[in-house]
Amino acid sequence: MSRRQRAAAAVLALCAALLTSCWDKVEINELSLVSLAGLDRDPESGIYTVYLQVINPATGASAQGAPGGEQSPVYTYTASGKSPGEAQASFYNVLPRRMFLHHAKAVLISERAAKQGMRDFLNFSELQPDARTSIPLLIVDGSIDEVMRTFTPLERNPADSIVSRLDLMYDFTLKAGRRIELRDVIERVEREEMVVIPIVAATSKTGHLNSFDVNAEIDANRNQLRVSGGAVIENYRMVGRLYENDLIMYHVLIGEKGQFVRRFPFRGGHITVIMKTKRMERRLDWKAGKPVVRLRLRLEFSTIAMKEYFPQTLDELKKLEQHLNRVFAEELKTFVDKARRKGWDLLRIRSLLHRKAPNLPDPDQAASEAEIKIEVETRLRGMGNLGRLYDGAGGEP
Amino acid sequence: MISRAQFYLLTVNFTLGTTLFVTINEIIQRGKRDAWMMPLWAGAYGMLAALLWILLLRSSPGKSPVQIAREAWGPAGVIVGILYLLWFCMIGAWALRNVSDFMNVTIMPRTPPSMFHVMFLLVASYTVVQGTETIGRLNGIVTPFLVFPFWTILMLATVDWDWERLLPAFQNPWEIFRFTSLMGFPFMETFALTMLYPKVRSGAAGALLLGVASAALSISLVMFMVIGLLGPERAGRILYPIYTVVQEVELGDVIVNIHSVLIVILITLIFIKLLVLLYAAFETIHQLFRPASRWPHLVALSILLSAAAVVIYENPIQNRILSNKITIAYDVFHTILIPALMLLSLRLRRALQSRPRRR
Repeated sequence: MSRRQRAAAAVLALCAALLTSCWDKVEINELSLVSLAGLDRDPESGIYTVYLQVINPATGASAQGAPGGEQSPVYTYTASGKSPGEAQASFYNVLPRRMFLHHAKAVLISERAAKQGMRDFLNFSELQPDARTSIPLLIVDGSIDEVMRTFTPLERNPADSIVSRLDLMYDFTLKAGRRIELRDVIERVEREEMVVIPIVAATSKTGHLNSFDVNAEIDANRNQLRVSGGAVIENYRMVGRLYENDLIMYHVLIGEKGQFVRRFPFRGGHITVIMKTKRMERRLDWKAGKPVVRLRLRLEFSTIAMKEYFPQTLDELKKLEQHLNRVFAEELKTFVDKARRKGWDLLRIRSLLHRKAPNLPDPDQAASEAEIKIEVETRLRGMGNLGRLYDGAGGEP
Repeated sequence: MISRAQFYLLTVNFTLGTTLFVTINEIIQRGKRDAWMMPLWAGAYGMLAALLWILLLRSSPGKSPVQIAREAWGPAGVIVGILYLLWFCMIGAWALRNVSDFMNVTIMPRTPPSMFHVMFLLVASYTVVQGTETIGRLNGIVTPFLVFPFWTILMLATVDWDWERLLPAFQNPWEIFRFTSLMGFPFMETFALTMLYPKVRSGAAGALLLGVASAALSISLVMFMVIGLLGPERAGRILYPIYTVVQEVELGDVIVNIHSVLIVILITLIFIKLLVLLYAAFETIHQLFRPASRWPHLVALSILLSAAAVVIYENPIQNRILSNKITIAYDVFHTILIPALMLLSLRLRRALQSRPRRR
């Protein structure tokens, strides 16, 4: 090969980087970037309704303060049909750009659809080659139509707002778990386990507000979305709810790592503790042919929220720790018993038995008979800014 | 002539070729949590089969199986050669179809499948015309670009790792042997490499065996990771589990949607498989009919392959039946039965020829 030929070959090879494919070229200006998807099914008529929240490209950072006034950061499109596929196909009746699901951030399912069963939705979602299943799935309390048409202040894209809150809730409150994505729901249900996913609802409204109104309103608790509580999913069906405190205990018990705040009874009053889960061990023993599951939790707590009492000596600290160990273990046990009475295997005892003792003749029976023992070990690690509390009169009675 | 190392890398890449697309979910569906063991025993079997081929090739050094067939059976050997030609074409067309299917399902749904076939064949034909050395060298050059990104991406995916997905392990030790067609595809297909065997300078036998072993280990490791990352429930159902694993990788807000890197790796691997098969078919024609020119029958081969790729199966279900039930019969016939018969008749003939001399 001569030098010229080589140069020509190199130039040609470099040009390849500039090429897009011919049939499947993707122009960003011809795409509708879906950021949030909503799914609903009317139990009576069986009509599926799909909501897509599409990002408005004109409200990007570069378009801030553009002439023409405030534009909506997202647009919600709706389509219905007798099946999700039909609904999806009729989007182009109203949607002028190609649907692009790769960047969706979360999926919402209405409570009534979840109670009927969401297997078909999840199957449909897994069938789509361009839909990621590594995004959170949430249940909508109340009208999904309203939720999909609600703006959020501060974080203007509702999907970003929800996902960001889920992260914060996990890190600082343990009111949301890590394994709440579509794929986790599928995996857990396929293993016949229960899973709890967060619930989102619209807060009280002062009318039909547009983005400008929402961002101009000072009361940020109204006219927006609230993420709270958890929907218990069994066999692709929502079978119940967990409220905030139960949700924390659930996440502690399944070994999620995060920080949370809890108020315990203490010396006739209460004590508020910020705790951090450190370690969770589960051991399976057998006693008289029945399984005994031992849960050992190690937690660290800090004095930052302990405005009620402050231990001064090692002895006092030890007493406090022992007190917390006992009380928290009791509370967890009460929670577990309550859930088991409803027939909820939230601790996934059944799959634990399946893993550790796969040859059991009747795992369901064994799981319901299993004895659960919870041991808690707390340790003081973090300190607040005070070495001892101010003790003048004038505190809470 | 190519070197031992080049032959080894060709064997590995050829075996990995379409395997990483086609059978992973099927294997996991059958073997569940222990599915990663299945490629190991199938690979061990593949090495046994390779020993048979080595025995055959050593009995007539410097000759390919097609030439050995003529030596063993005379004019009837031509029929065997034609059978091999058709078989190579069939696997080649299958590999082509797999790549167009994959691309159509994942990132390029609107591109006509034949476009992929023709483009692949165009480049592969050009490479084949350049000769054995070019094939070996090309593969040697691209391999580092396949290995490192591939494992790096899979390592990045391990953030979602969960050991519980692999438990309980070894429940049904015999279950993992249930999927016999794994021996055929991919391991018996490596027979195509015996067409390259005479072109290796020295030590081809070790390279072939080691290549099959390395490929089996790699497949096993990939499956181990896929199971640990997706769980047997999902991995057994998803069409392209590796793709899904990588699709779900998210590191912060920066590293998302890195699956395009994986796609480049996978289509390159398939390209190498196609390259070897096309070369095998081309060499077979060459050795059977000794044409003076090179291009005309290569064009004919390309037309045949691109047409066969479109019609080899209609839908994924047929593809599954093809890979699970049908190919094994072809594979056993072409890679066990015929070589064993050839070896037998060669030995017999030599024994008969040497007997009068002794008297």
